[in-house]
Amino acid sequence: MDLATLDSEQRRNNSWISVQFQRIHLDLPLLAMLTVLAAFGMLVLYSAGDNNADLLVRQSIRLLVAFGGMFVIAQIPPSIFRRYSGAVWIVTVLLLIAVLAVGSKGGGAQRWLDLGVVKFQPSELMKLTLPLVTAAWLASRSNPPTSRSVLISLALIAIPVLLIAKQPDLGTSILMGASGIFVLFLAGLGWRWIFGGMGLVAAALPALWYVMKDYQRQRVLTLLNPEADPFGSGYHIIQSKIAIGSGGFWGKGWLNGTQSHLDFLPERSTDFIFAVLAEEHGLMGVIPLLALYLAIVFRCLYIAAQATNLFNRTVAGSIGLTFFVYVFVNIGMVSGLLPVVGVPLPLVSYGGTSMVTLMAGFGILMSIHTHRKLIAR
Amino acid sequence: MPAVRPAAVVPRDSKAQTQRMLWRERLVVAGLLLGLALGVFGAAHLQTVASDGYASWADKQYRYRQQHYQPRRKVVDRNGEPLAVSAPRPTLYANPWQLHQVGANPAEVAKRLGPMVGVSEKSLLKRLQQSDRRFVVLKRHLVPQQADEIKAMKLPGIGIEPAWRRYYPLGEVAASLLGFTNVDDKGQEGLERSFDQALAGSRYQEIGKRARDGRVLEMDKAAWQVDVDAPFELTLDRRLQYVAYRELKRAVQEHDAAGGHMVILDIASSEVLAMVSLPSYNPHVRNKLNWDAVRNHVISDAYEPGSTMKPLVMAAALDAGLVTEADVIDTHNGRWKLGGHWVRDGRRRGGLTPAEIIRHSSNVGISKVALRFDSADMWMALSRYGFGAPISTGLPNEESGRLPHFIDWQPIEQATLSFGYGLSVSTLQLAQAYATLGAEGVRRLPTIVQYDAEPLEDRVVSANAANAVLTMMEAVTQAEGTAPLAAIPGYRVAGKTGTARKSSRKGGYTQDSYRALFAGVVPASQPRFAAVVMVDDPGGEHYYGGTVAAPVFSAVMADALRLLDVPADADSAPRHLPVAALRANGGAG
Repeated sequence: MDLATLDSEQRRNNSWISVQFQRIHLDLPLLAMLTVLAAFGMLVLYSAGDNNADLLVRQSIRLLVAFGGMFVIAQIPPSIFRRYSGAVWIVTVLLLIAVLAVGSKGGGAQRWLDLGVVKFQPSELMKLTLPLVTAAWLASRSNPPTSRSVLISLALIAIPVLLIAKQPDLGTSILMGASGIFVLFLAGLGWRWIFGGMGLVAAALPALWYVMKDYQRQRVLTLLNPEADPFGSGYHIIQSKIAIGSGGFWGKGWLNGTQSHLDFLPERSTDFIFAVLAEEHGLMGVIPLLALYLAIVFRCLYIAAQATNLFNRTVAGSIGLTFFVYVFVNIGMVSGLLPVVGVPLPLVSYGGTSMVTLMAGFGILMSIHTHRKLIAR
Repeated sequence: MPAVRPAAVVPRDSKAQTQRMLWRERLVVAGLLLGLALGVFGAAHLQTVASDGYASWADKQYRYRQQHYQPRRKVVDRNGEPLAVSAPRPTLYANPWQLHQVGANPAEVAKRLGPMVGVSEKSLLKRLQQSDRRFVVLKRHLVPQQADEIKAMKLPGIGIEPAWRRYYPLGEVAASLLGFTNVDDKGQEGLERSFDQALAGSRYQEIGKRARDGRVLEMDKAAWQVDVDAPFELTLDRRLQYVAYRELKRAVQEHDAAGGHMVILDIASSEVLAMVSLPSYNPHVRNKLNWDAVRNHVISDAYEPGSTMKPLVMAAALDAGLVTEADVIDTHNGRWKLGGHWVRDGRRRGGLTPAEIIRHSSNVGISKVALRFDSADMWMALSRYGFGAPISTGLPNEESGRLPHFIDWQPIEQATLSFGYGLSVSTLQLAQAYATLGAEGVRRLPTIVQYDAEPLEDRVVSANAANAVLTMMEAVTQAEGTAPLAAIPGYRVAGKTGTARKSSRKGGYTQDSYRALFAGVVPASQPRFAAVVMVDDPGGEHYYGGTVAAPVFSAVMADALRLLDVPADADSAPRHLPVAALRANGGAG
């Protein structure tokens, strides 16, 4: 068998598998990468949770639920999301208001809505609703968007963002705002708007300082100089930098991290899990992880580029970019480059709600990709 | 509220629109790559260039280090009584570099410390100002209480390091045997030197991991060291050591002697119960040491043992069948010419039995017995007693003596060897030989350190020969013998005197310089102890072994027998028939 036939054979095989996956509305490359990431995450989590099998079991259940959710959502054609995004947006905004009014408190912030059976975090629902509704709105208007449609889009974004910022959950609100802005950007937002917006943000930063809560201000100050209070507010950042730095090039070996296993590293199975990975696997663990994240984002952008209409394209792009921003913000925070905001490392950190939302996002992406092709046939 | 009309009018993507979006996506990709590069660069910086710093920071947080100090081992006698102990005497030190770093005033530190430790402020200040050094000893051997007080002052750059000082409860009584250590607790002399490795204290670090809340989690196994708390046991009995020292010193003073040796062996095991070498010294005062006193002469000096050789030669001759107890040997009126040399006795006598040769210490008699040996056989016989060979007690500077090879022997040399000239032995070797006679002819290597192992054994002469000679030696300490002063009331003492001319430095022998010896075994019926007393160069009117050394033997062994509850045997039957009885029986043996 010469190389040429092998090549075509392979291509035929691949396409056969792809077709089978397409039939059940799953994107094979994306699914493969997410599975590898989740498996790698479990490995790190096992160590971060002090070899606790319980933690692993609970995380596995969440992963199953999240992957299941993704599968279900991937079956829904994108047109449905487009059609109902407005209604969902309205309901979710009402829920957010309800949270502020009657929601249960956790850690100084009101984020949860106790529905008796389950606690529900409306902000998670909004994470997906916001890009969908913005994309739906812009797709229904002329392109490039007029000033009016941009302003309306901004309102669609600003209302939930402000409500969530009020909980207060600055991290989530900023990331959510970003996901809306990405839609606008990808939909062809004029450069005037972009530079104007950037100027506005720069001007607003000092004002933001006064709006921020004390603890939020402290976080920014700590970022600038963590050594000022190494046992107080600077503790998290210093400890995670020590863990990452001491891991060195090759790392200390799986389950051999000292900073993580001896309790020096705080929040090590949730927000700071990247430090555990960096300590135990060194730069040789960090680079493959970043590469995997980047590959996932590129796959999302490829799906966006392949999308047939503006709605699909902007939604896919926004979800991919938001995913990247999550990764970037988490790693930046853990490495001491960005302030401490409670953002988990996607698919690696221990925690349920955000993972379900995340996988639902990938479900939307898969739906966009697979429905397009079936229609094309 | 914005009204969203979902999917009502979907404008088809224009070509320009697609183009624009492609550009935007490229821009986004560029941005992502930039972000990734930034992230990788940041991580790579933390984990490569800056890694060492963070690693040492991590180390500081979780590393658990504990210094352990193990003092030098205690040395005890056979009953667990201390012979050498280490008392905590911490060292006061300074880290002048640190003192300098924290900007403390050395003058003030010196002012506060000076009066406390009794060192002049000026001298302290001089040391504290050596700001490039990190460890300077300010004062050694603090009393623990003093150290606690200084610790409580929390002076910067001033520390206390655990240290010990060696003390010898027996003082000069066992000084030349035990030796001493230097300021760093390292053995310098005696047993402290030769067993330094076994005795040495240690200083080691325990390394482990410590969690944030202070729990110590893991210990690296390699960091653990075997604790050597067990005392180092000697075979010595400090009571006997003390009595031996006291009596020997009294004799040395009384007879104006240069020095003396005494060693007591337990016959059953050949363990050294006492070993005294005089002159001695105070091991706690070292500034003007008499280096001659530091030597343990009992093992490090070899000399001509004189008449104490006679019973050993006699036992070998009996064993070899060259002589019987009934033989009568003509002593030629105490003068016998042999190859141009005269062999003389102190008193003129005629025919003597072997027992009488021993009792009267006849040189002529023992010479004639010795000459019945083939020279090689006699050399072998003396070698078997251990002469000319090391004992390997483990003590430093052990002398193995000299037994000339039989190839060089002329008859006169073979004769003089039999009364202890022409060979050299150490006091311990002589005691070993007498213990052999006491142990029915079995030689065991003397030991000074307690071992679990059985002693090395070697048959030298038959039990019959050894017992016969013991009986002969009993007569020595009786009224007509040469050493009635060695007698111990209630006990039968078998022994032999020796009065050996010292060889002069010019060659030949001195006229007025002697070694007075007494070697013996008690109780003769059931020998328990073998002992040798040697008084070196008695300067008074007495210089005979029977008058100078024998009383020391008597006094010391009397105490030893009492201290160890050895039953009196004066009334028991002799274990070997006396010569008179043999003669009466017609000399059949």
